[in-house]
Amino acid sequence: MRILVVEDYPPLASSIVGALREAGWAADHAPDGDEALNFAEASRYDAIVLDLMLPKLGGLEVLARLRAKGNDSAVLILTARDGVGDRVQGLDTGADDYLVKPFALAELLARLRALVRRRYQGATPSLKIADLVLDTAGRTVQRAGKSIILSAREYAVLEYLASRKGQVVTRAEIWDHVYDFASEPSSNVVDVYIGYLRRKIDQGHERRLIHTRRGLGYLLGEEG
Amino acid sequence: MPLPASRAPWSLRRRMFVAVSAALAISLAAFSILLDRTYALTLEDRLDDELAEDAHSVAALFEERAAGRWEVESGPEDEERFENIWYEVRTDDGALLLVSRGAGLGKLPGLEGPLPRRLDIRLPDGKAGRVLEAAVAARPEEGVEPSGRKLVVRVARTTAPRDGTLATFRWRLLVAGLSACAFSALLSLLAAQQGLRALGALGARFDRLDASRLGERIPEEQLPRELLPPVRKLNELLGRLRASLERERRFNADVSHELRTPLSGMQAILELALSRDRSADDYKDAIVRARAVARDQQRLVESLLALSRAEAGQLEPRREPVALREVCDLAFAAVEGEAAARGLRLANKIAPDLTVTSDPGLLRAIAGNLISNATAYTEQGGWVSVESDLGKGLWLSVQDSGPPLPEGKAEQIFERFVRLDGARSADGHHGIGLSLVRALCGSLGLSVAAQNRQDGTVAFEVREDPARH
Repeated sequence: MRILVVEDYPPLASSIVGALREAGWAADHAPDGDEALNFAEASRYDAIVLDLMLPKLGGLEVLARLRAKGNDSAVLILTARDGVGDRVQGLDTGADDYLVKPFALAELLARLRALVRRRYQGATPSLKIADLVLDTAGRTVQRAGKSIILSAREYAVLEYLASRKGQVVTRAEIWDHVYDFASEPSSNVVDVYIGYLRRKIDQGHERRLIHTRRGLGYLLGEEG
Repeated sequence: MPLPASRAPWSLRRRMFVAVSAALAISLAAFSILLDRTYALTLEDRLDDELAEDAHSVAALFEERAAGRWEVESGPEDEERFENIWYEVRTDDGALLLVSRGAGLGKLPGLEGPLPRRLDIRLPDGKAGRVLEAAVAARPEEGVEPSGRKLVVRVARTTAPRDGTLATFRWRLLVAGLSACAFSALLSLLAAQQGLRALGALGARFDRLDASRLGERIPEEQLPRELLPPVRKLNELLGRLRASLERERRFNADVSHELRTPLSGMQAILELALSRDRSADDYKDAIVRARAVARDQQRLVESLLALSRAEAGQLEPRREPVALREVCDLAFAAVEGEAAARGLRLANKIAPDLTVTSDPGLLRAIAGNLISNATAYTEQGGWVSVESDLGKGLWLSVQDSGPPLPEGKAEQIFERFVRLDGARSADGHHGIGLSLVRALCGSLGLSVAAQNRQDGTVAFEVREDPARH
């Protein structure tokens, strides 16, 4: 999943971005409102963490412009403004969630997971594809009752494929949702991780779940 | 301690009631006395008229004869006529001629002065009466030339009928007066009640005022004229209170915002560091970053405290010689690193021997904030300089090469938490520096203002406040 963090206080921004990356998500940081709009136009984010008091362009204005342009990323407002009126205004402008500073990082991450989950799979925190089960909260994977150990990046790729199960996902889409602008671009890194995942998930099983659509991309699910 | 009940001021209703009742009672009493005196005099005049008539009737019994003699012609019918009066007739030289039955008017000590004389007396039968002594000419006998001498007649009558009438009159007057008093007291009570109704309604309106409803003002439209000035004043006060509460509310929101953001930053740094096992370098890095945030927060809290002390007038500035150049040198030293990083040239143009009498610590804070502010906002590669011109009352002029302040914002920047770019930053500029400068200047009797110059430079000037010097 790919998250944009819009926050002008550097120590806070760097910690949130760090925590997201350690959770295996791709995270970009925009220090002001103008930058936030640029980032949001340049790539599709699954969720945006948005501060309200921003230089150049206020958070609510950023949100209003994003929504006016049809951007449907989940938006979580993260602000020190705790008045009921502020919350109502934020949510009515198009935010999906509202978290008041100071907050616990764990809660921010859980809320982001919930937002992304709702976006792709509905309310339950686990994704099921045949006998493959992903627990998105605990970030664990089981196939046929047996646990599979994945690296953070492998998990990120699998989670994105799983969230779009049954659909063909292009390499570019996978790249966009798993790698942020800080990552070194590489042409075949997605293929490499798909290879790792095939070995860990499909090897030793009769039914293969990861399929290649030549010229298009990959698909996670039962064939047919 | 509550006042003893006897010292408590009277209620308005009581005051109005007592004042109106007392005024009515006094004027009624005065009127009654006047009426009583007039009526009593009228009755007395009427009695005196009767007595005068009696005196003439008695005198009519006499005939003046020749040679100064007097003849009485009195019959039994006269006895009857004069049954109710006492009389005595003498000659003008005092010889007694005739006395009524029972006699006894005798010598009356109060009867002195020119004739006719009147006096309230005790009658021979012990009742209250009134006597008249008058000189009356008697009818001369036919053919006798009147000598011009007169008879001195004393006539007395009981005053019982007059006193009875007067007593009845007084009794009626008293009853009427008391009823009028009671009636008007009742009316004054009602009038007071009616008059105070507006006040009562206003009181009820005041009762409904509380901090959450300061937005309302007391309607002035239907108020009696007397209540307008205090209500207008109150509305004005309410307006000011509302504005000051609003300022306070905004300030609290700003403070909580400014404190919460670094707090979240520190919390996030620490939580992230603790989320899994890390290398010693990673932990160290997290601690260093957390310490930077803590220092930033400490600066903010100290500035806020200084600001609130200065604004509350709790500072007690010292007065001693301060070298202005030295103050600015210290301020420049604090921003040297930042200035070098941004390619700014710094210039202290104040003469070394220039001193003022003031508080060195507060002046350092003023110069430090202005210079640090200029350093932070001046465009890369520009310059910041200070000068002074005591002859013109100018203590400090901190100038920089720009960019100029946005149009019309030169005053706004001195408000708390106002940053022109709307940003919060981690470099110690929280938007309180300039409001602190203004508050400190206020406590030193100085004023501070910012202005854009024609050539695109910006100047912050600290001057002697003409209102204070």
